[in-house]
Amino acid sequence: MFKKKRKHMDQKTARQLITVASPKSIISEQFRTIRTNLTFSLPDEELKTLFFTSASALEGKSTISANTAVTFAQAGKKVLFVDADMRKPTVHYTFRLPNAAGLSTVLTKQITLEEVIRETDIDNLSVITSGPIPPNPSELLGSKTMTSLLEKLKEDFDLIVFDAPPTLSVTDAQILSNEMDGTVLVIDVGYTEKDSIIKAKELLEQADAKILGVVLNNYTNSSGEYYEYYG
Amino acid sequence: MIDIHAHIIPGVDDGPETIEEAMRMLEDAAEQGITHIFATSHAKSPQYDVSVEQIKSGVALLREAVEANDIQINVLHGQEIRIHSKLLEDLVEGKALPLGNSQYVLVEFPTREIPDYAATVFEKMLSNNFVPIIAHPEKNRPLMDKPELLYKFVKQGCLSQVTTGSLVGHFGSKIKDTALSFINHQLVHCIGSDVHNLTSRPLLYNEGINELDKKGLSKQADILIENNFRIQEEKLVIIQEPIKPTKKWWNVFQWA
Repeated sequence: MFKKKRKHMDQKTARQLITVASPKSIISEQFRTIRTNLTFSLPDEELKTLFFTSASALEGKSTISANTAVTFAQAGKKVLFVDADMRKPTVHYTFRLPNAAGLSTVLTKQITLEEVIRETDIDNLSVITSGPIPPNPSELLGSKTMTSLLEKLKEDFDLIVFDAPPTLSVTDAQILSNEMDGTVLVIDVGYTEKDSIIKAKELLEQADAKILGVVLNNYTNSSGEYYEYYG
Repeated sequence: MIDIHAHIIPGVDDGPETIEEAMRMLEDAAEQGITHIFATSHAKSPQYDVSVEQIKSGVALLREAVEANDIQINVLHGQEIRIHSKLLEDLVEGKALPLGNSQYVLVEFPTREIPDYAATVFEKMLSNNFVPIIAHPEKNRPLMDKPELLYKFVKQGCLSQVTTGSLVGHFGSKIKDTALSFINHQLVHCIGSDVHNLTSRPLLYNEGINELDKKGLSKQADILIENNFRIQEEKLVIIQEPIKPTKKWWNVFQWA
């Protein structure tokens, strides 16, 4: 009378992630290239915290950081993906999770860290969503609680990937990038102004961020061969 | 499948009057493929205020009768709580019931208004780990007129439950259109029958889901059904990014 599909869904929750939906596609391959490049970018040090930001909004930070986190998890690393964008959070939509509790509630000590680490359908990948939007994201991210939280997370995970707000609009990215092992700048080709990229780089350098490289988003290669510049 | 909204405890509210009627309703539900049904009698509404004790004894009574009649369905306790300013306090003190032992609470607005304190009450609930489920938003006048209000509540972290009867047009075409529009805007998370009796307010569970299939909303239907399972299993539900409803000049009558 009712169809079989009306039982439990077997569909993965994070289906919008291309590295999950079609791991063999060219784009997924590009993400694996990003993974390899990142792994080799710090030969002498261990890369434990990785930070994604951009100059302005809507350049693809969340998509690129989420997919990068997935590829690291697929390589067998125990990965935590944290939504540090407490202004326009999206990670809970990507993984289709509730956002009543998250980073902001941990930083304001309403809830313990263990309670907000959510497992996903992807092996080795856990997520912390942003939590409700607080009135003072910069203060929360710069707090001592955040520093001790980072230390604690580093013990439990091989790699922690952060999605952050854009560098030019708010100071959050500067505050956080200072504490990270590596920062990656996402640039939307044909959208981001050169000047703003340079300005963003300056701001990050002022904050002593270690910029590992740049990911070019929406890059089309006219020669037909797929190759994305990175570095 | 799971029904998270049903008035099946006899003689307490505007649900069934006798245990026999309740049994026939449960039989019907079991036949339609429902394995778990939440008994959500009205609480704190101006007409009916069914207490926690009444619900628990009612559920115990139904469970016995279900077993005696060999009906394959599990009756779980719940409440459809009319929103009021002390809702969180009631939940904490056990004077109000979530759905089963979960964190999800079925909350009803008055038909013609949304109280000013609604957002504050929801905020308090959410920060205390309760998740409000707004019952049948498609039947609430202000939400019909201003769907962006529902968008705000969903953004805040509330869930919403569509009624199957609304989907088949049991309450008129306007409520049906509103319900479908809410689902299209990914503002709905779970589904319930809001069954009251066998005649004027029947179950219509599969009919409602078939209607979604007909409208090409099978994917959304799958998510609603899956979320019902997750509520019963006390797990986190799937939440899609809500789309902000906008008024377009060429369909100003859409919400009129």
